[in-house]
Parts: sequence; C-alpha cells; structure tokens
Amino acid sequence: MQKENLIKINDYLWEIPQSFRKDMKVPARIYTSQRLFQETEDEALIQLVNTTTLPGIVKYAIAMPDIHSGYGPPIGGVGAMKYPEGIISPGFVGYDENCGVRLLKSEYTEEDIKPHLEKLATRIQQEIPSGLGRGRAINLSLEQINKILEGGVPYLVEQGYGEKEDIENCEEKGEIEMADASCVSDYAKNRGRDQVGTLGSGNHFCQLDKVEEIFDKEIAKIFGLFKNQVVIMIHTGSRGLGHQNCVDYLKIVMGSYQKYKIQIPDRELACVPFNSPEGQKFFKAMSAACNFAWANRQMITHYIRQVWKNVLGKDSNLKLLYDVAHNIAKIEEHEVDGQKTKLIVHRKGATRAFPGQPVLIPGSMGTASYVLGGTEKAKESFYSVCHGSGRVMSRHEALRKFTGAEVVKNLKKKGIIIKSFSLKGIAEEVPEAYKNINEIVEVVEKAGLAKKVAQLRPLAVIKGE
Amino acid sequence: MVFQYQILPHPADVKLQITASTKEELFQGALKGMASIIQPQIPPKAPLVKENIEIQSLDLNALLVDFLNEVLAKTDITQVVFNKLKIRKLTDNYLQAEIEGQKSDYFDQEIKAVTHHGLEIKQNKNGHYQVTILFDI
Repeated sequence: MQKENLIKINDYLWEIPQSFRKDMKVPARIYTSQRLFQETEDEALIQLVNTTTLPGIVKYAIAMPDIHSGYGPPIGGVGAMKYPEGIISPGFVGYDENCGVRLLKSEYTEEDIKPHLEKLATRIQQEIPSGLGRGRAINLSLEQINKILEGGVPYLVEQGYGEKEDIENCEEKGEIEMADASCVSDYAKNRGRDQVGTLGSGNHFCQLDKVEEIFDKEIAKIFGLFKNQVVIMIHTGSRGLGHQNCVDYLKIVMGSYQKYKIQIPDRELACVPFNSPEGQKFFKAMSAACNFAWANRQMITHYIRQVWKNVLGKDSNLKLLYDVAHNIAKIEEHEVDGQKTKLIVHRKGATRAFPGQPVLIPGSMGTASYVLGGTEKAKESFYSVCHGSGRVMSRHEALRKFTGAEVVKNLKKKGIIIKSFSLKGIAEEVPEAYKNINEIVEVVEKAGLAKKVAQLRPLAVIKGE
Repeated sequence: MVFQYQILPHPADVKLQITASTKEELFQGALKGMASIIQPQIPPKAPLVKENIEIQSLDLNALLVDFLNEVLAKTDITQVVFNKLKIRKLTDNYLQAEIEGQKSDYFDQEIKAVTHHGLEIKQNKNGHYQVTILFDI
C-alpha cells in the first residue's frame, strides 16, 4: 500500500478512507510516524483494511504504531462493534487469549538489590517453568481448573496465593464474571492442568527492571514509582488452554457463516454475532480463558514473592502496580456520536488505557519498557494504546545473524543478566529483531493517547524458551 | 516424489510449505513438517505411542488445519510428538487415521496453534498438491 492512499489527520495519525476498497464498512486509522510507517508490512495494512469489513464495526478499525501482520486482524489492532448485534471474533482476540503484562513494585533500589541479583534471577528461573513441553510438577484436577476459570485472581487470593490489593489492581479485578467453565473444552482444560504458574515460550518473560527515568513525577508518585526502584515485569498469557480455546471456537464459528450470512475476506477474521448462541458461548469461554491467564500471572507472582522473601528476608514484599491484558474482547462503554454506548471492544496486541490507569508496555529482551498513564484523549482509540515493540526480523534471520552466546555477551556488557535454557531462543529474541520501543511510545504520547510516566531498564531477564 | 517440505521465512512466526503427489502424502508431509518445527529430543528407548483420530471439517483446507491442531493438542497434553500417519479414510471433509509418535523430553520450539492464514491446498501444473501453512509460535 502506498502512503498516497492515506489521508493525514495529524503528524501521528493517518486514515485509509472507506473509498479505498468497496467492502470497507468504516475507514481504517493508523497511529504511526513517517519512519515507523516505512517499516510496516503491506500485509499488516491489508489486514487492517480487512477488519473494517466486520459486521457491526463502529467508527473505524484502528492500528497502533507497533502494528505487524498476524492472522485475520493485524497485531496492534483495535475494533469496536455494536452491542449486542455486532460480531465477536475469536480471530480478533488471537490464540493467546489475555496475553498480558503485570508489574510488581519493590521498596528496594538497584544498589540494594545488586548483591542479590544473580541469586534472585537463578531462583526465579528455578521456580517458574518456561514452556517447551515443561509444566509444573503438579497437575491440577479438572475441578480445580474449573474454579480458576470461573474465579480467576479472587479465587487464588482466597486460597492464600496473593493479597486483596492484587484483585483491586488487576484489569477487571482479575475475573470476568461472565466466564463459564462449561463452555471450555476438556482438551483445553487438560492443556492447562500443569500450566498455572508457567511462563511459556517465545517473547514471554519475567524481568527484574530498575526505574531508569521518571517523566511525570506527580503520576509516578501516585503509582508508587521512584527513580532507581527495582520492579518486576511479568509477560505471559493463558498458555495451551487459551490456544486450544481459540482453536475450538474458530472451528465452531467458521461453521456458522452461512447461518448468519457472514462474508469476510479472510478465514482468520472468524466471527459470529455477539448475541447468537455461538457468540455467547465463545464470550463465556474466552472470558474463562482470560481468568485463567490472570490466575497464571497471579501464581507466578506468588512464586516470585516466595523467592523474594527467601532471599531478602520475610519482611520484604512486592506490591502489584497493575495487570493489564493486550489480547482480549470485552464489553465496555464508550462515546459514539456524543452518546455513551456499550460496545464489544476487541484488542489484539493493544492495551486498554483508561484515564489515570497504569499502562504497561514491555520492550523486547534487553531494551527499555515503559509505564504510561491513560489520558482522556484516548477515547478516540476506544481507550487503547500499543502493546510492545513488534517484530521486524524473522526468527530465522535472527538466528542467521546472531548467536545466543553473542547476545548474552552483549547484554552482559550493558549489565543485563539473561537466564534461559535455550541459547537459540535468546538469539531469536535479539533486540535488533524488534521495532524500536522508544519510537513507538513516542508516537503514542505525541498522539496524546497516554502520558509517559517512567522508563524501565532491565537488570535480569528470565526468558520463555 | 512422495512429499517434500521446507520452512519459509516469516517475521514473527513459522511458515511451512509442503509439496506431495497425493492428498494423503500431503497430510503425512504436514505432520512430519510440524514435528520438524517442534524438534523434539526423544530418548533412545522411548516406546512408540499410537492413537486413533477422527476429524470432520468444513472442507479440505480446514481439515488439514483441524488435523494438525488435534495432533498439537495431544502433544501438549502428553508430550508425545507424532510424525507418522496411517490414513484409513480421507475425503474432502473427513479424516480417520492412526498417528504414531514418541514421548519427548524436550521441545526445541513450542507451537501455539496451526492457523488458517492464507491456507489453500492447490494442485500445480505437474499435478502435485502444494500448501503453505502458518504456525503461530
């Protein structure tokens, strides 16, 4: 797609008009900069245009500056549909339902932690399995899985795996009430039985960071962040359970197109009306998988807190700043034509950013991450911002250009410890394989969608393999 | 030719292209190709594990994806990586078969799911079947 096809709204926002393709129901909008746009693949833009054809879509399909091609909608995409007659789409949530991020705050500075850093990283790696067929040693029963699917974080806190504040500081309070475990297949549940409290592979990680820079002192104070503070970021999702749930519902939904006379340009856009039996069942199942993901991050938090207390003494603790999803579909109220309107908001590789909310943007391995604060202006993007960096280099190319040992050495030079059982995995996630996170966050801030509050720099990365 | 497969570059995920003389061989090639992405480490004396599968789908393209996702789910639950397929019945929307594999100690690559993205089984001018599958990893 040529830039000539786009209309400039302002320096950081461009529109693909509805006239670009006959089947578009609304325009598409992309938050980007001149340079980031040059890096964006054509396929991702076509996928963005494809999402504008979804029945019931409101205002425009939106892409964030970290857009890259996915399946069906692009990664970094946001689409809000009319409630309740618009569609709900498993394809617009993606295979990792409620992949997301949480940030834990310590009361220590980098100087305090330095002598213990290696030990903390090693112990955390030992405590939290990181995928590749490895789960936890204990298999939960299907009954326990059902309780997690319906109870999410509050259930685990009730069982002693967290603090009451953990519930308050989670998006949706760690539990979507519509969740119904009976809508999730036994296959999916069995895939999740040994995965509560595991990282998974790919770009998932747990990271000890220091607060490198504070941009907004006032908001940082409210969030409890200060310069040189050590914080812990966790990035993972619903693991095999969520993947299977998406696979199961793609099959169900694809079989329903004729019934609902749905015509879409790409199979992976798979969708059904929200108020259809299939749509309702998917919403309840996806909500359950989301609860599972929040519970997964909660359980990881529990194990990290144990390590923290073992190494630093029982009085030390980690407080949850916030936990936010970046692959999800939810019912939210937004302003449409001046009216408060209920919508089915899909975010695939996009983070919810309500005014005043801490917004967590993970960087790639070894690069900065950000804490942002939501703003009122983000109502134009259905209170959504970017979710991370976005790949620009294939894993294959990364392996051809870099060795794991080389990457470890370079990170060490920057003072970053990396813990992973796979050197190949380290090479695949080399920082050069990703877009520059600083530029992405810059676009989000300049567009007014969120305010930069703090930049985090990694001290130790425990990586999914 | 029975079947050939090769991994193609993709910025975020893995693309696998399979060419085969028959539809049956295409399914066998896809299974073997998927196992080659996972790259299991199978202990020397790991016993053979056999399982029966039966899948009903919308069409042949969906059948291939549903078949591979079914195998992937079994692998995730049991750590058995399957790479052999004995087809009992294959139509354009139905597969009944036996899959065979071995339990692995370790996977080199975790696959989240097999996607339908751009997937279309085609016959080339030599009459060979060809398909490209995108795996979400």
